[in-house]
Amino acid sequence: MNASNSPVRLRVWHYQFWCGACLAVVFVAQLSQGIFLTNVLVFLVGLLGIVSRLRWGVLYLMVGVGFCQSVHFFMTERPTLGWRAVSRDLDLHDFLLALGVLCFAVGYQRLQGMWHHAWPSDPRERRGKPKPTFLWMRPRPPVVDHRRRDEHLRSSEIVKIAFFAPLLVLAGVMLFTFVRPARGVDVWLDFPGNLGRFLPPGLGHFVLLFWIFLLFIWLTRHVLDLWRFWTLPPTTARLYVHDQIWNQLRGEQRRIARWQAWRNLQ
Amino acid sequence: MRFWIREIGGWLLVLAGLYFCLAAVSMVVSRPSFPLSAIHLTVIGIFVFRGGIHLLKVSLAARLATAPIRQSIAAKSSAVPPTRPQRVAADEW
Repeated sequence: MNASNSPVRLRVWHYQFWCGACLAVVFVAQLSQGIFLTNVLVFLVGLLGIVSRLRWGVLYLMVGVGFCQSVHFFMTERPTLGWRAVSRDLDLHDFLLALGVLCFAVGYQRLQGMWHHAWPSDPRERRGKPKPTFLWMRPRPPVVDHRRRDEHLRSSEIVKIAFFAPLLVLAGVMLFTFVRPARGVDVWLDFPGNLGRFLPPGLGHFVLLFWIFLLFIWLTRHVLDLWRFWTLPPTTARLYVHDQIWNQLRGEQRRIARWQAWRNLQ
Repeated sequence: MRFWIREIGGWLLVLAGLYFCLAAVSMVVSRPSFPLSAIHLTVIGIFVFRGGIHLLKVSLAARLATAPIRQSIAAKSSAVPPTRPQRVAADEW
């Protein structure tokens, strides 16, 4: 990690402020839907995560938002939409809600890197005074955590996130709208038997989204893998070619070696 | 040249795989009542794309592995050839 040369120095409290602003966006988005009590609870849980260095703060926030939206859907929206209805159109508050949660998760991930450790700890690397254990059994020095320091933060990070996060959310909203089946279309027609009749049509939309998401991740993973190959050193490239040769010709080589062994026995 | 043929073939397979995947997505989006019909196209696209990527990786690795050898051969061939020792003229004796 290179230290930043920018005159504007980011500190931990910048990211705490960022997460607080995202929480405010989430609160406003849910308040505009008429959610209040559970919304306040979610806000307090998020705030607790920012100020108390909780490791699972993002998970608590997402569970809370999911709970709020589920309660709102089943208590308020469902009676107006009706059974087996296709999901409603996305609105501005949905966009704001997704944006707030995404930006909170990104900022919180940075905070975790500075509070706890940037990478998974190596249990073999231990240093310092041994911690007291139960019944003084095998006291060992604590595992060294490599934290990310303030001077490693680049000031352009927040600007990039502020530009890219709305674009990502917008792309997600557009994908959601684009692949949504039209109203009245039975999504599960080609399922074997009458299985499709028992499945809600809204589930088909989410299966479709999930399938496109998985396909996109798979394609991106292979493209990135190919990109990595452009920077391989010659030694590693030679090793890869040898490995491929062994992988694809080992059957023939084994057969030839077996024939040679048989000839030597004669 | 042998690497370039593989690379062109790999890129063609990658494009074909992407085309199959996009065709599957567009089929599902345009006909949402039949999501299972797109599975065949997706599987074909995944296999073709995977084959193309594999071809590209192997040709790229082979090109990178042989680059130092080719550079040394080129350096040897472009070096100034050793000059023959000049004969001593008879009148210098």
